[in-house]
Amino acid sequence: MNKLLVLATCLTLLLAGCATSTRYVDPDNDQGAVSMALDYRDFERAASGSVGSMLESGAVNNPNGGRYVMVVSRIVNDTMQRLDTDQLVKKIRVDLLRSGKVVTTTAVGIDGAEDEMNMLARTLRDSEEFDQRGVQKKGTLQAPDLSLSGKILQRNRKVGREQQVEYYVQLSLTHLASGLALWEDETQVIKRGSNASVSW
Amino acid sequence: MKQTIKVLFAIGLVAGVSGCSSYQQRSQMDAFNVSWVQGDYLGAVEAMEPKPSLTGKKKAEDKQLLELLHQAEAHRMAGDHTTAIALYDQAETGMKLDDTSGLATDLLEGGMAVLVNDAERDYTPMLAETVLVNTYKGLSFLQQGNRDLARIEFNRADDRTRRAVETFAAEIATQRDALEQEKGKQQSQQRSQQQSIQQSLASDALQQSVAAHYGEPSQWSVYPEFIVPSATYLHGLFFLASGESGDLEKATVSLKRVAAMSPGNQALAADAEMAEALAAGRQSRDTIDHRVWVMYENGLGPVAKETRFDVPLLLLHGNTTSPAYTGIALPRYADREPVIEPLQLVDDLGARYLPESFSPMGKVVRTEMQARFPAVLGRAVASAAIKALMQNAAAEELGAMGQLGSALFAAATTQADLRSWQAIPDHWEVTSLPRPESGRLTLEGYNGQQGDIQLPEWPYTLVYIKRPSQQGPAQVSLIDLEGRHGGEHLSVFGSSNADDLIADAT
Repeated sequence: MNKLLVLATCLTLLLAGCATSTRYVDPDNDQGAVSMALDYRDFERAASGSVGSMLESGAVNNPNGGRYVMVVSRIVNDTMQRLDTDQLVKKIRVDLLRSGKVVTTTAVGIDGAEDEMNMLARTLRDSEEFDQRGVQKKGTLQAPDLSLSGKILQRNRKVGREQQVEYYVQLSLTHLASGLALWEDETQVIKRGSNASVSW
Repeated sequence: MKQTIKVLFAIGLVAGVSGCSSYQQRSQMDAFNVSWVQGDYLGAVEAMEPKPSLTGKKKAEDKQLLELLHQAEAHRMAGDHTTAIALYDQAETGMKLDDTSGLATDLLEGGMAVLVNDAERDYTPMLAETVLVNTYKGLSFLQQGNRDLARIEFNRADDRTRRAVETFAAEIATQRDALEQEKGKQQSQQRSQQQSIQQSLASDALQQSVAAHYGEPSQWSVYPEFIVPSATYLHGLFFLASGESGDLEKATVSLKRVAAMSPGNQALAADAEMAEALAAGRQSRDTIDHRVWVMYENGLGPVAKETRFDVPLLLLHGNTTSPAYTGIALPRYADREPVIEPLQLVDDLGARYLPESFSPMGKVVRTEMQARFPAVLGRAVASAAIKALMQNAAAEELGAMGQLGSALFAAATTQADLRSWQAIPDHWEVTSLPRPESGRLTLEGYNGQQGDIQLPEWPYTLVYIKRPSQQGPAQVSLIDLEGRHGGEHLSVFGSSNADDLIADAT
C-alpha cells in the first residue's frame, strides 16, 4: 500500500515538473518556436524594415521644413489569417514619429476619425459649462499631406513535402497634393514547415 | 472456461459499443433531417447537440466535428450568423486537430477502424466539406457587412481547394507506389497478416466481386480535378465586386475555372467574360450598371448508404493460402431529392429569369470518393481479413464457442461509415440580372407561390437562396457583395405537410 502511495506521489510530482511554466520573453532575442502564421516578430521586422526604407528614400523629408502630416488609409489584409493590421501600422507610426519627420493625424481615417474626440471636443463650443478659452477653435485641425496605404498578401505552395507560406507586406506613401506615390516598399516573410494542415 | 468467458465478454462488449454508437449516429442524423426538411432550424440544432464525453466533460472540437458542422449551418439558415461563425470557427479548430493529431492517435484510430469499422474513427470531413465551411463563413461575414473577414474566409476556401488538388494528386501517386511495393512483396514470399490483406486486395476475384456489387468507381461521372464549383464561383464573385487592386485577377481565374467546369451555363460564362474584360482593361467598372446575382442552393445533398456483400479473401495459414468468403460493408453515395419545381425571378418590367444549374454535389462527392475509394476498400478488406483470421484462431483456441463469438463480433462490427454533412444541397443554380429600377424582384416557386423582395440600392447585390425541400421555406439572404453594408435575411414559401416532410428527409 505504502509503495503504491510513494509511486503515485512520485508520478504526480513528475507530471507537475513537466508542466509548462510561464516565463518572460525578450522580444529582441526570442528563440521560441516559429509558427506558420504571422506573429509579432514578423510585424516588428516588416515595420522596422519599411520605416528604414522610407526614411532612407528621403520621401518624408519636407522641402518646406517641418513635419509632414500623415493619415493612415486602408491596409488590406489579403491573407488567410485574422490579423490586426493596426498592430503593424502602429509600429510604423511610432517609428516615424520618433524620426521627427512625420506626425500622424487621428482626425480623419478611411472609416471615420480614428479618435472621435477630435470632433466631440468641438461640440463644446458655446456650452456655458465649459471655459471657452480652452475649447478648440474652428480651422485648427490639420489636413494630411501624406497617406499610407497597403496590402498584406499571402501565397501558399507545396515545396517537396513541406508547405511554404509567403507573406508580402506592401506599403505605399501617397503625396495627397499630387496623388503621386512618393515611396513604395515590399517586405517578404517566407516560412516553410509542416504540410499536415492549413497554415492558419 | 474462465478465459473463454472473458474473451466472449470482451467481444460482446466491443460489438455492443460499436453497434450502439452506429445506431446513435444514425438516429441523430434522422432527427436532424426531419427538422431540416421542415425548416425547423432550431430543432435541427437541438438534434445535433453533441453528447458529453464519458467523463461528462465537453468533448474536444475534433470529437464533435460532425455536430458542429450541422449546428453551424442550421444557425446560418435561421439567420443567426454570429453563432454560425462561432461554430464554424470551432469546426475549423476540430479539423486542424484532426489534421495534426499525433502518430499514436492515428495508429489507434487506424487500428480501431480495422478491428471494428471506420465509424469508430473521429469524423474526418470530406475535402469538399472543408471548402464549404469557409465559403459559408465568408457568406455570413458578408451578411454582417464585414468585408475584411469575408475576404479571409474566401482566401481560405481557395487555399483548401489548392490543397485538395495536391492531396488528390498525392493519393493517386501513393496508390501507384503501393501497387509497386505489393509486387515486390509477393515476389519475396513474405508471410504475414499484411500479406493476406495485400494479396486479397490485389486478387482479380476480389476486384470483380467489388465491381459486380458496388460498381466501378472509375466509371463514375466526375470532375477532371477536384473543385467545388459553387465555392470557387463565390470566391470569384467576391473578388469581382471588391474593387481592390489585384482582386480582378483572382476573380478571373476562379470564374473562368468554374465556367470551364460547367460548359453550357451561360450565366457562368458571362461572369467569366466580364471579369476577364475588367481585368484586361477592356471594360471599366464604371460602365457596369448595378447588378444582381442570384444563387440558389437547391435540395438535399447526397448521403452515404451501406452496401454489404461477400468478397473472396486469400488467408494465410502457415505455408498455405486458403480462400475464404467474408462480408464487407462499403459506403455508397446516393443522391437525395432536389426541389423539382423551378425557381423563377421576375423583375418590375415582367422579365423572367430562370437560374441555371451547376455544381451538383453528387458529382463533387463522387470526384472525391473516387480518389478515396482505394483507401476505403483497403480498410474494409483489412478489417474483414483480420476478423476472418480471428475467427480461425478463436475456433482453434476456444472451440465452437470461440468461433461463434468471433463470428457474432464480425457480423456486428462490419458496418460502413455513413457519416457526412447533410446540410449541403443537391446542387446550386445561378443567374444574374440588372438591378430592377424599382428594386422589386419577385420569386416564383412551387405551385404559383410568390415572394417579393425589395433590393437595397447596392451596386453588386447577391440574393442567396437556400431551400432544402419543397415543403420547407426558402431562406433568402440579401448580401452586399462589396461587404459595405449588413444584409437582410428573410424566409419565403413553405408548407407544413408533415407526411411529405418525413418522406423527403429519408
